[in-house]
Amino acid sequence: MSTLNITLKNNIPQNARLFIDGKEYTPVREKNATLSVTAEVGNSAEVKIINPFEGQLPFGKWFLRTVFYWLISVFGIFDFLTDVNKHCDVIEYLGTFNTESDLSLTIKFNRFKENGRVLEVIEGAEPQTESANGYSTDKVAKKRKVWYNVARVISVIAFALVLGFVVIVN
Amino acid sequence: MDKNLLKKEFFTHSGKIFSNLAIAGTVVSLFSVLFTVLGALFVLCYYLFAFIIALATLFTVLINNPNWFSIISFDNFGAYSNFMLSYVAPPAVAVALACSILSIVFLCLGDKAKVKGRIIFSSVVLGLTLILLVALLIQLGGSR
Repeated sequence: MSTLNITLKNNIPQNARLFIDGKEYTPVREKNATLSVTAEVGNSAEVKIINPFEGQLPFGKWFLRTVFYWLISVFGIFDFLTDVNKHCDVIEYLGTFNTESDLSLTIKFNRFKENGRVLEVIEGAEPQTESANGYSTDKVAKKRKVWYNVARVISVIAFALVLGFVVIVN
Repeated sequence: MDKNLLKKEFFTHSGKIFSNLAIAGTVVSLFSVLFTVLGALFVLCYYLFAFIIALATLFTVLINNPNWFSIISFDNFGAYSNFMLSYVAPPAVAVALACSILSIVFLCLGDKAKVKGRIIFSSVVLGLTLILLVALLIQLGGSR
Protein backbone atom coordinates (compact mmCIF):
# COMPACT_ATOMS: atom_id res chain seq x y z
CA MET A 1 0.00 0.00 0.00
CA SER A 2 1.26 3.48 -0.78
CA THR A 3 -0.07 6.96 -0.26
CA LEU A 4 -1.33 9.24 -2.98
CA ASN A 5 -1.48 12.87 -1.99
CA ILE A 6 -3.15 15.29 -4.39
CA THR A 7 -2.91 19.03 -3.84
CA LEU A 8 -5.31 21.20 -5.82
CA LYS A 9 -3.86 24.57 -6.78
CA ASN A 10 -7.24 26.19 -7.28
CA ASN A 11 -10.84 25.29 -6.47
CA ILE A 12 -12.29 22.12 -7.90
CA PRO A 13 -14.91 23.07 -10.52
CA GLN A 14 -18.39 23.44 -9.06
CA ASN A 15 -20.27 20.18 -8.59
CA ALA A 16 -17.30 18.06 -9.73
CA ARG A 17 -16.59 14.90 -7.78
CA LEU A 18 -13.23 13.31 -7.27
CA PHE A 19 -12.86 9.54 -7.19
CA ILE A 20 -9.69 7.60 -6.47
CA ASP A 21 -9.94 3.89 -7.28
CA GLY A 22 -13.73 4.22 -7.37
CA LYS A 23 -14.04 5.79 -3.92
CA GLU A 24 -15.25 9.37 -3.61
CA TYR A 25 -13.04 11.85 -1.76
CA THR A 26 -13.89 15.36 -0.65
CA PRO A 27 -10.91 17.75 -0.82
CA VAL A 28 -9.98 19.24 2.54
CA ARG A 29 -8.85 22.84 2.82
CA GLU A 30 -5.39 23.13 4.36
CA LYS A 31 -4.02 25.99 6.45
CA ASN A 32 -2.25 27.47 3.42
CA ALA A 33 -5.66 27.70 1.68
CA THR A 34 -4.98 24.93 -0.83
CA LEU A 35 -7.23 21.90 -1.12
CA SER A 36 -5.78 18.45 -0.71
CA VAL A 37 -6.77 14.81 -0.75
CA THR A 38 -4.86 11.87 0.69
CA ALA A 39 -5.69 8.28 -0.21
CA GLU A 40 -4.25 4.84 0.45
CA VAL A 41 -3.81 3.14 -2.92
CA GLY A 42 -2.25 0.03 -4.49
CA ASN A 43 0.44 -0.10 -7.17
CA SER A 44 -1.57 2.12 -9.46
CA ALA A 45 -4.33 4.61 -8.77
CA GLU A 46 -7.18 5.55 -11.03
CA VAL A 47 -8.18 9.17 -10.61
CA LYS A 48 -11.59 10.13 -11.96
CA ILE A 49 -13.20 13.56 -11.89
CA ILE A 50 -16.76 13.84 -13.16
CA ASN A 51 -19.83 15.99 -12.58
CA PRO A 52 -22.96 13.91 -13.05
CA PHE A 53 -26.13 15.99 -13.34
CA GLU A 54 -29.78 15.26 -13.91
CA GLY A 55 -29.86 16.55 -17.48
CA GLN A 56 -27.77 13.54 -18.49
CA LEU A 57 -30.45 11.07 -17.43
CA PRO A 58 -32.43 9.14 -20.06
CA PHE A 59 -35.40 11.19 -21.27
CA GLY A 60 -38.10 9.21 -19.40
CA LYS A 61 -36.39 9.44 -16.03
CA TRP A 62 -35.46 13.09 -16.54
CA PHE A 63 -39.06 13.91 -17.54
CA LEU A 64 -40.55 12.20 -14.46
CA ARG A 65 -38.13 13.97 -12.15
CA THR A 66 -38.81 17.32 -13.81
CA VAL A 67 -42.58 16.88 -13.53
CA PHE A 68 -42.11 16.01 -9.84
CA TYR A 69 -40.00 19.16 -9.27
CA TRP A 70 -42.52 21.23 -11.21
CA LEU A 71 -45.40 19.97 -9.06
CA ILE A 72 -43.75 20.28 -5.63
CA SER A 73 -42.41 23.73 -6.47
CA VAL A 74 -45.95 25.00 -7.25
CA PHE A 75 -45.64 25.03 -11.05
CA GLY A 76 -41.95 25.85 -10.92
CA ILE A 77 -42.37 29.07 -8.92
CA PHE A 78 -40.16 27.88 -6.05
CA ASP A 79 -37.67 25.98 -8.18
CA PHE A 80 -34.95 28.64 -7.95
CA LEU A 81 -31.42 28.59 -6.52
CA THR A 82 -31.47 24.83 -6.94
CA ASP A 83 -29.39 24.41 -10.08
CA VAL A 84 -25.65 24.01 -9.67
CA ASN A 85 -24.82 23.38 -13.31
CA LYS A 86 -26.64 26.14 -15.18
CA HIS A 87 -24.68 25.82 -18.40
CA CYS A 88 -24.70 21.99 -18.52
CA ASP A 89 -20.90 21.85 -18.51
CA VAL A 90 -19.51 18.33 -18.58
CA ILE A 91 -16.26 17.63 -16.75
CA GLU A 92 -14.50 14.39 -17.51
CA TYR A 93 -11.09 13.32 -16.33
CA LEU A 94 -9.78 9.77 -16.10
CA GLY A 95 -6.12 9.09 -15.49
CA THR A 96 -4.04 6.28 -14.01
CA PHE A 97 -0.94 7.05 -11.95
CA ASN A 98 1.90 4.77 -10.99
CA THR A 99 1.91 4.53 -7.20
CA GLU A 100 4.43 1.78 -6.50
CA SER A 101 5.93 4.27 -4.04
CA ASP A 102 4.23 7.22 -2.31
CA LEU A 103 3.23 9.90 -4.77
CA SER A 104 2.50 13.58 -4.33
CA LEU A 105 0.74 15.37 -7.12
CA THR A 106 -0.09 19.01 -7.55
CA ILE A 107 -2.79 19.66 -10.08
CA LYS A 108 -4.29 22.82 -11.43
CA PHE A 109 -7.80 23.04 -12.86
CA ASN A 110 -8.25 25.05 -16.03
CA ARG A 111 -11.15 27.39 -16.62
CA PHE A 112 -14.05 25.98 -18.59
CA LYS A 113 -13.44 26.12 -22.31
CA GLU A 114 -15.32 24.02 -24.85
CA ASN A 115 -13.08 21.03 -25.68
CA GLY A 116 -10.40 22.43 -23.35
CA ARG A 117 -8.42 20.36 -20.87
CA VAL A 118 -9.84 19.93 -17.35
CA LEU A 119 -6.53 19.86 -15.47
CA GLU A 120 -2.79 19.88 -15.74
CA VAL A 121 -0.37 18.05 -13.46
CA ILE A 122 2.12 20.75 -12.49
CA GLU A 123 4.14 18.79 -9.93
CA GLY A 124 4.70 15.06 -9.57
CA ALA A 125 4.53 12.24 -12.09
CA GLU A 126 2.55 12.51 -15.27
CA PRO A 127 -0.26 9.95 -15.58
CA GLN A 128 0.59 6.58 -17.09
CA THR A 129 -2.59 6.66 -19.09
CA GLU A 130 -5.04 9.48 -19.57
CA SER A 131 -8.19 8.30 -21.30
CA ALA A 132 -10.20 11.47 -20.74
CA ASN A 133 -9.32 15.05 -19.90
CA GLY A 134 -11.77 17.48 -21.35
CA TYR A 135 -14.56 19.95 -20.86
CA SER A 136 -17.64 19.90 -23.06
CA THR A 137 -21.23 21.10 -23.06
CA ASP A 138 -24.12 18.65 -22.99
CA LYS A 139 -26.29 20.12 -25.74
CA VAL A 140 -29.21 17.76 -25.11
CA ALA A 141 -29.30 18.67 -21.41
CA LYS A 142 -29.07 22.35 -22.31
CA LYS A 143 -32.04 22.03 -24.67
CA ARG A 144 -34.03 20.23 -21.97
CA LYS A 145 -33.22 22.99 -19.51
CA VAL A 146 -34.40 25.66 -21.93
CA TRP A 147 -37.70 23.81 -22.47
CA TYR A 148 -38.22 23.38 -18.73
CA ASN A 149 -37.58 27.09 -18.13
CA VAL A 150 -40.02 28.03 -20.91
CA ALA A 151 -42.65 25.71 -19.36
CA ARG A 152 -41.99 27.26 -15.94
CA VAL A 153 -42.44 30.83 -17.21
CA ILE A 154 -45.66 29.91 -19.06
CA SER A 155 -47.08 28.09 -16.03
CA VAL A 156 -46.18 30.96 -13.67
CA ILE A 157 -47.96 33.45 -15.96
CA ALA A 158 -50.99 31.11 -16.25
CA PHE A 159 -51.03 30.64 -12.47
CA ALA A 160 -50.93 34.43 -11.90
CA LEU A 161 -53.76 34.96 -14.42
CA VAL A 162 -55.96 32.27 -12.83
CA LEU A 163 -55.26 33.65 -9.33
CA GLY A 164 -56.11 37.18 -10.51
CA PHE A 165 -59.33 35.91 -12.12
CA VAL A 166 -60.36 34.07 -8.94
CA VAL A 167 -59.69 37.18 -6.82
CA ILE A 168 -61.70 39.40 -9.20
CA VAL A 169 -64.65 36.96 -9.36
CA ASN A 170 -64.79 36.59 -5.57
CA MET B 1 -23.26 7.37 -15.02
CA ASP B 2 -23.42 6.72 -11.28
CA LYS B 3 -27.02 6.03 -10.27
CA ASN B 4 -26.29 6.62 -6.61
CA LEU B 5 -24.89 10.09 -7.28
CA LEU B 6 -27.92 11.03 -9.37
CA LYS B 7 -30.21 9.74 -6.61
CA LYS B 8 -28.42 12.09 -4.23
CA GLU B 9 -28.90 14.91 -6.76
CA PHE B 10 -32.64 14.17 -6.71
CA PHE B 11 -32.83 14.43 -2.91
CA THR B 12 -30.70 17.57 -2.89
CA HIS B 13 -32.80 19.27 -5.58
CA SER B 14 -36.09 18.32 -3.87
CA GLY B 15 -34.72 19.42 -0.49
CA LYS B 16 -33.80 22.82 -1.90
CA ILE B 17 -37.32 23.27 -3.34
CA PHE B 18 -38.89 22.36 0.02
CA SER B 19 -36.49 24.75 1.71
CA ASN B 20 -37.64 27.58 -0.61
CA LEU B 21 -41.28 26.71 0.15
CA ALA B 22 -40.58 26.67 3.89
CA ILE B 23 -39.03 30.15 3.71
CA ALA B 24 -42.07 31.50 1.82
CA GLY B 25 -44.47 29.88 4.31
CA THR B 26 -42.53 31.28 7.26
CA VAL B 27 -42.51 34.81 5.80
CA VAL B 28 -46.29 34.69 5.19
CA SER B 29 -47.03 33.30 8.67
CA LEU B 30 -44.66 35.80 10.29
CA PHE B 31 -46.44 38.65 8.50
CA SER B 32 -49.87 37.26 9.49
CA VAL B 33 -48.95 36.86 13.16
CA LEU B 34 -47.32 40.28 13.29
CA PHE B 35 -50.16 41.89 11.34
CA THR B 36 -51.98 42.96 14.53
CA VAL B 37 -48.85 44.54 15.95
CA LEU B 38 -47.92 46.14 12.62
CA GLY B 39 -51.52 47.36 12.19
CA ALA B 40 -51.53 48.96 15.63
CA LEU B 41 -48.20 50.64 14.87
CA PHE B 42 -49.57 51.89 11.56
CA VAL B 43 -52.64 53.42 13.29
CA LEU B 44 -50.41 55.06 15.90
CA CYS B 45 -48.24 56.49 13.11
CA TYR B 46 -51.37 57.72 11.39
CA TYR B 47 -52.55 59.53 14.56
CA LEU B 48 -49.14 61.11 14.98
CA PHE B 49 -49.08 62.18 11.34
CA ALA B 50 -52.66 63.52 11.53
CA PHE B 51 -51.84 65.45 14.70
CA ILE B 52 -48.73 67.01 13.13
CA ILE B 53 -50.75 68.10 10.06
CA ALA B 54 -53.53 69.47 12.29
CA LEU B 55 -50.95 71.37 14.32
CA ALA B 56 -49.23 72.68 11.18
CA THR B 57 -52.55 73.98 9.83
CA LEU B 58 -53.43 75.42 13.25
CA PHE B 59 -56.34 72.93 13.41
CA THR B 60 -58.10 74.59 10.45
CA VAL B 61 -58.05 71.17 8.75
CA LEU B 62 -60.71 70.10 11.26
CA ILE B 63 -63.14 72.68 9.85
CA ASN B 64 -63.19 70.96 6.46
CA ASN B 65 -62.78 67.42 7.87
CA PRO B 66 -64.48 67.00 11.24
CA ASN B 67 -63.63 63.27 11.12
CA TRP B 68 -59.92 63.97 10.58
CA PHE B 69 -58.79 61.74 13.44
CA SER B 70 -61.15 58.85 12.77
CA ILE B 71 -60.50 58.10 9.09
CA ILE B 72 -58.42 55.16 10.22
CA SER B 73 -59.08 53.50 13.54
CA PHE B 74 -58.17 50.31 15.37
CA ASP B 75 -61.61 48.91 14.47
CA ASN B 76 -60.68 48.76 10.77
CA PHE B 77 -57.75 46.53 11.60
CA GLY B 78 -59.73 44.21 13.82
CA ALA B 79 -61.44 42.51 10.88
CA TYR B 80 -58.24 42.25 8.82
CA SER B 81 -56.27 40.99 11.77
CA ASN B 82 -58.92 38.33 12.53
CA PHE B 83 -58.93 37.26 8.89
CA MET B 84 -55.13 36.97 8.81
CA LEU B 85 -55.01 35.05 12.08
CA SER B 86 -57.88 32.68 11.29
CA TYR B 87 -57.49 32.02 7.57
CA VAL B 88 -53.98 32.95 6.42
CA ALA B 89 -51.65 32.13 9.31
CA PRO B 90 -52.71 28.51 10.11
CA PRO B 91 -52.23 27.09 6.59
CA ALA B 92 -49.03 29.11 6.14
CA VAL B 93 -47.58 27.77 9.41
CA ALA B 94 -48.63 24.23 8.46
CA VAL B 95 -46.98 24.53 5.03
CA ALA B 96 -43.82 26.06 6.54
CA LEU B 97 -43.60 23.36 9.21
CA ALA B 98 -44.16 20.46 6.81
CA CYS B 99 -41.80 21.87 4.17
CA SER B 100 -39.00 22.66 6.61
CA ILE B 101 -39.13 19.11 8.04
CA LEU B 102 -39.23 17.63 4.52
CA SER B 103 -36.37 19.86 3.38
CA ILE B 104 -34.14 18.75 6.28
CA VAL B 105 -34.96 15.07 5.61
CA PHE B 106 -34.36 15.36 1.85
CA LEU B 107 -31.18 17.41 2.21
CA CYS B 108 -29.80 14.87 4.71
CA LEU B 109 -30.58 12.06 2.26
CA GLY B 110 -28.85 14.03 -0.51
CA ASP B 111 -25.30 15.28 -0.72
CA LYS B 112 -24.85 16.37 2.89
CA ALA B 113 -21.34 17.78 2.45
CA LYS B 114 -22.41 20.17 -0.31
CA VAL B 115 -25.62 21.45 1.33
CA LYS B 116 -24.48 21.89 4.93
CA GLY B 117 -25.45 25.57 4.83
CA ARG B 118 -28.94 24.80 3.57
CA ILE B 119 -29.48 22.18 6.29
CA ILE B 120 -28.51 24.72 8.98
CA PHE B 121 -30.71 27.37 7.35
CA SER B 122 -33.68 24.97 7.17
CA SER B 123 -33.19 24.08 10.83
CA VAL B 124 -33.31 27.79 11.73
CA VAL B 125 -36.50 28.15 9.64
CA LEU B 126 -37.98 25.14 11.45
CA GLY B 127 -37.18 26.72 14.82
CA LEU B 128 -38.73 30.02 13.76
CA THR B 129 -41.83 28.20 12.48
CA LEU B 130 -42.25 26.41 15.80
CA ILE B 131 -42.04 29.76 17.63
CA LEU B 132 -44.63 31.16 15.22
CA LEU B 133 -46.87 28.15 15.82
CA VAL B 134 -46.78 28.76 19.57
CA ALA B 135 -47.43 32.50 19.05
CA LEU B 136 -50.34 31.68 16.75
CA LEU B 137 -51.85 29.21 19.22
CA ILE B 138 -51.57 31.78 22.02
CA GLN B 139 -53.15 34.50 19.86
CA LEU B 140 -55.95 32.23 18.66
CA GLY B 141 -56.52 30.97 22.20
CA GLY B 142 -56.69 34.55 23.47
CA SER B 143 -59.16 35.65 20.81
CA ARG B 144 -61.64 32.85 21.69
